[in-house]
Amino acid sequence: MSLLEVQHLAKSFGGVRALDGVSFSLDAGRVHALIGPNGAGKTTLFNLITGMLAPTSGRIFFRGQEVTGLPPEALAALGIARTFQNLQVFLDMTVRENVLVGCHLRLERRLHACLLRTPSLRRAEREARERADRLLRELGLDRYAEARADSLPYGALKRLEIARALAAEPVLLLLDEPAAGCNERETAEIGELLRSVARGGPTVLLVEHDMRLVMNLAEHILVLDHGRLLAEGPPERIRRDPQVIEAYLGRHGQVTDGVAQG
Amino acid sequence: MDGARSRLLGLAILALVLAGLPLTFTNSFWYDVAIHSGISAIVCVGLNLLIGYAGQISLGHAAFFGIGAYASAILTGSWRWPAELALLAGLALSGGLALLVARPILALRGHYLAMATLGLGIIVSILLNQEIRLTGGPDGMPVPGLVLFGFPVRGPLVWYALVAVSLFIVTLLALHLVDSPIGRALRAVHGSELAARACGVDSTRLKVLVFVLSAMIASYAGSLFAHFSGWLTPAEAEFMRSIEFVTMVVLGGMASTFGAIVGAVVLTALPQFLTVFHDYEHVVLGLALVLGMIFLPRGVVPELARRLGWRAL
Amino acid sequence: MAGDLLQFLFAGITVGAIYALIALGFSLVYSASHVINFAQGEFVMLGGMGTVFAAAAGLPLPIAALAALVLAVLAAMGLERLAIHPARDAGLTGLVIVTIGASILIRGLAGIVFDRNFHTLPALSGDAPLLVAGATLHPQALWILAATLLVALALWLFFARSLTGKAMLAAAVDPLAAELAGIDPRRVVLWTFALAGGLGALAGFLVTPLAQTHFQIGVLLGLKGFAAAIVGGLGSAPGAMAGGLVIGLVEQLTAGYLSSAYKDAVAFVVIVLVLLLRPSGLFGTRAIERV
Repeated sequence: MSLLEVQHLAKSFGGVRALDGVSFSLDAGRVHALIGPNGAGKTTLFNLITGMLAPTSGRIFFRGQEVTGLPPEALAALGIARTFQNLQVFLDMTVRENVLVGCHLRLERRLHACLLRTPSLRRAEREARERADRLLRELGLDRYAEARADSLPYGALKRLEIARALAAEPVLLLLDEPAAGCNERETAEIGELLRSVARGGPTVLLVEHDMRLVMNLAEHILVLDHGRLLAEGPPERIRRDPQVIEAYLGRHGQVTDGVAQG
Repeated sequence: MDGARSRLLGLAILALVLAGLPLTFTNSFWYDVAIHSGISAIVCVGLNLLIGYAGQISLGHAAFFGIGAYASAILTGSWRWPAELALLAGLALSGGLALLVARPILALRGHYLAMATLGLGIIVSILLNQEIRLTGGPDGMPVPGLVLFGFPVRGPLVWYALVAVSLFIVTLLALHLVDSPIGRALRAVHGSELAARACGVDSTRLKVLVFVLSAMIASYAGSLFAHFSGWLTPAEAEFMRSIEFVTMVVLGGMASTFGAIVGAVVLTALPQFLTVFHDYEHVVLGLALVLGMIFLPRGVVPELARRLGWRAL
Repeated sequence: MAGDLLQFLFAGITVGAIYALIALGFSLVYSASHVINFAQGEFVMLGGMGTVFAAAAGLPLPIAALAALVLAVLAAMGLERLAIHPARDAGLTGLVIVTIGASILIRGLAGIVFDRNFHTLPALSGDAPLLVAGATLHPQALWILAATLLVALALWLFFARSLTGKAMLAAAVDPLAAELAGIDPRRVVLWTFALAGGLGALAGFLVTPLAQTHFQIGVLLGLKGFAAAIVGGLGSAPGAMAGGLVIGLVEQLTAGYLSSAYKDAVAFVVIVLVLLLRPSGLFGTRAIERV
């Protein structure tokens, strides 16, 4: 059974159709990538799947259950986590606290426990702290644990977003351009990181412009163009799809290089 | 210094100050001022959770204070209920009313809670003034002395002790809450509401929770106030009292529990000692608010702590 | 009975027009700067008290009223320049607190500079009531209605026809774009405050012969004007006018038929109900974001 199924999903912003009847499904346990030129509707699709936006029409199913129109926190509770293209780190909190917020749903958070600091709360907090520190080590952020997030360099913030999303131990992880703005070395590091994340971990849906990263990581690629699904399939087929090449050749020479190289 | 250690240090200092203060009191006037300051501080510690951490303003907290006060006054006076039960009834009434209003309002983004609490506060204040048979109207009503579990709370020292212990407990609970998953989640919402919700934080529910909690704390303080003063008038629940509570929190320091206490104590005690300035009271209060927001937008205590390199609690 | 109803309607429309003027001040400032200016009621007080004291100092009534208007306008501009602009980084919470602080300050100063007594002004056309279909109408009410209608017309002409008015609307919608087009959004905000101050003073001057004035009169009038602005949909000028009338009418009908004791509560019951049932206001079209 597919993990996520999207049926005829559409979203208009004041008459402009950002997404125009998109249908696809994602198999569990694999790395999927979503590509397409700027303005193709990738981030809109992410926002619909994570409940940040409500669709104009269409339905979304997660693990067989309809989730259309649920708020973000409800989708998070079902096991969907995400990162943001424009960083959404909690800047005035420490790096460890950022990751602890990622653990929110697994923590003891009943009011009386929080007010009284009950033993169950202390235990949950201690365990969460250990898990957060383990994640920070795995992502090479352990030396920043006590630092306020706003003191971190850009590349570290990108990794912090991934750490926070992983802290929720999600079933489906949506990554919105994890390598955007990173140099070649940082991109390679993120590629390594994502490979290890995907191994035995969550199902991943990745939006990325770096074609080399996409072709290396993804087992299944969705191509969006003008709010429609242009093509989908394994990387080797997408790479040779004349429609995809056409869409990129039209306006996106630089990414075409990536496709050609990949 | 990590959260738990600075919390313990702060609480230890608070306990020392609360225990040591009576040694400096030379007459009952000092006790009176200290007890009133302590009661305001209890309200402000609760209100600070709402303003400083949930990022919402209540312009009607005096109404919850008034509901607690009048619940105690009417139920123990006219209805002969035990004081504990009357106090609990006040808590239930305040909490219930807060929940009723906040649930729909806090589902909206923006400062609608400020407007709704403003309306609610004035309605409660008008009710207290007009329901003369129940409340005695603008002239007020008498309140029986407080008997807690068979022990009469009488005399300045006993009253001081009760208020001090109450303030200490409320502060302890507030500090726990701030350093718990709920407090962390609220700070996260302040940083990026979208990201917090993507982490599973139900921001609306948390804001409602904190609002209801702060209303109940105000109600508790109101009950204490009613029994302590022995005579209750609707002036305690009017709009300007709500504004005074907000001023105390904001000047002391939003998102700082000890700041809220300092703000409450200073703004309650100062007018008592500066009676010559009575005519200028509003001028000073207004100026303090405007200048405070311009020059110390984070409040006195957090600003001091920052300059001294401490972690503000 | 019909005479009673007509009487209540007259009273409702008259106070409603006053609330409408105050609500306009809230709405214009809100749409230009997203500030809810809780000091709006103090401009009303300055309009009334200022006229009283200028007249007592020997100025003829029209000049005294003009002086009070200038005083309120200067207070409004001073509020924007000296308090709101410097505190613009304090966030919405901070700005609400700044305006509340400013209102307490203005009120406190008025209590010292003027006095703490009740005052009244002579009505513009005497106090002899007009008889209309069995109900009496105070001639001052006609002045209030005429002035409010004139203000509405002038504002409509200003915002719909004049270049400055259009520029102000543009700056409210998109300050950056307006700036690119050569409109200084800071000046727009300043002039909007000035306008709000003037509207408040006008309301204060007009209502004093009917309701007396006092240094604390601005609290309740301001809050009721605010209620009217919310009912109409904060930021909508036609909404503010309609909201004022709604609050005025409901208030006077309540006072007439239900209970005069709870007359003052009406506006606030309406605030809470509107926020619970239709938060964008009865006439607002602005979408409210649900979290």
